[in-house]
Amino acid sequence: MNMRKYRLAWIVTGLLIAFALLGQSAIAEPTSAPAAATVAGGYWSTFRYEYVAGATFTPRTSVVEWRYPGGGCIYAASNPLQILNVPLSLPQGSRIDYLRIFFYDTSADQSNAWITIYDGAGGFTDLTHVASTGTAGYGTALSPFVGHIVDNASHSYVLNWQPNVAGSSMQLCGLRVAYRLPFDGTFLPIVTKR
Amino acid sequence: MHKRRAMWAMIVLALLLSGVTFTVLAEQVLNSSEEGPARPLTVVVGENEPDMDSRLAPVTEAVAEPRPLSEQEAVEGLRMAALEEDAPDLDGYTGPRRQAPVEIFSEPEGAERGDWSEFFLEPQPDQDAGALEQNDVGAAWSAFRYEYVAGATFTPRTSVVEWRYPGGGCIYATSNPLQILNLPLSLPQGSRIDYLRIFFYDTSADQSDAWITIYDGAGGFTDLTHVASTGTAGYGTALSPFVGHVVNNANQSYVLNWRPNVAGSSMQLCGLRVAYRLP
Repeated sequence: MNMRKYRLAWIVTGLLIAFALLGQSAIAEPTSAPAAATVAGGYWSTFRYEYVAGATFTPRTSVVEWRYPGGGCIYAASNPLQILNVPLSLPQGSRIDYLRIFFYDTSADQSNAWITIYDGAGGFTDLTHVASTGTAGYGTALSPFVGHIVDNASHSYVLNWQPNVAGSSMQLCGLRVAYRLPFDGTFLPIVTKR
Repeated sequence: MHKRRAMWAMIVLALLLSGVTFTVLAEQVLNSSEEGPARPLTVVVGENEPDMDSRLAPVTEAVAEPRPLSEQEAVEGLRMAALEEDAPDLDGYTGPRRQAPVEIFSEPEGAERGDWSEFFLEPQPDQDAGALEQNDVGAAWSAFRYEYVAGATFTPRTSVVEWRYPGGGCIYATSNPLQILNLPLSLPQGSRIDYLRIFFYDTSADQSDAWITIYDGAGGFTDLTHVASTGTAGYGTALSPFVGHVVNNANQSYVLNWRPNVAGSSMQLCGLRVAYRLP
């Protein structure tokens, strides 16, 4: 084997080792989100979802007329500035990360969906908001990140939708809350026999 | 000679390392948390009933309405599926996290508000710090969990009732106040319902009533407990007696009820909260 072959062989060997080492480091630290994300010092599960059909929403006041167009959707036939809602029940201590709206929208306007918490004494906070967008028909949109920790002792949670437009050009087909459960498991020490 | 042996040893080592790397990377791709193609559905059922445990059976697809998916809807469905890829609310998302100030949509700020500190001067029986000894069975039950629903989510049992939203998550009836508004109550199987608490706004001389009812689906029912709004001071809260009912979702449906007894904004339901424990 002459010097040129030696060099070539060493280069190939070096490349193979570099590939193997890079691959191993990628395995050790995946760029995708790990199964248990650690945020703000705590450990959280992968996403859980609370997904409610638009057809289950009812208006906060009886002045609204509403219709069912099919596909689990709903629309207001009158008083579209009034709000339709549904209770939101999530596990104590879980973290609300996102609200996603699924809609049918052929209107130039937009509808709004959001999460509100109430304290039972007239106090409230809107946690996040997401709007239907476009005029193409079926679509979906995502809220900004929320990061709210659920406290069922102090607050009731409600999903709201305001159509803003009367008629079937603006329909709510669903709202989906993405949340995470806290990890509070006990980690036992490893016992090894020597 | 030594150089050649060393080189071959390095080549063999490199090939082994590469093989391991390929294998692990391939497994990660196959076991990715990204949603894959739809799988055939199965459900655990038992006693030949589709909503009971114990045997595997194919799901019978229920048709909610006779509306076939149009071609346009199918295309839109694909578009929505494409939108789902790499979304921040899916596991595996690696992009930046967007945060934004929240606009207020619920109602204008500045409405009258109550102050709970005057009602909770001491630990309450439906709080862990105030749980009565005789109602607790030690380690057999968890600390309190709560199902807290806003009054604004209640709807009447009959369409003869008209109702309004005064703000703050409350509700009141404007007609037929003896009719009942209700809401399904969903609690974990085997949990124990200990208390029902009402949050109200009441400036009326009358009282409104709230209670939990269980139904057996064959006309049978039982009211588990009852609590009334009291006083005329405006915002307030009241607690039911201890209940101690163990939830059996296989045999009963659970419903929260409220009867205003008075029409108008002087009698509002702002919330009901069930305190329960897990086994």
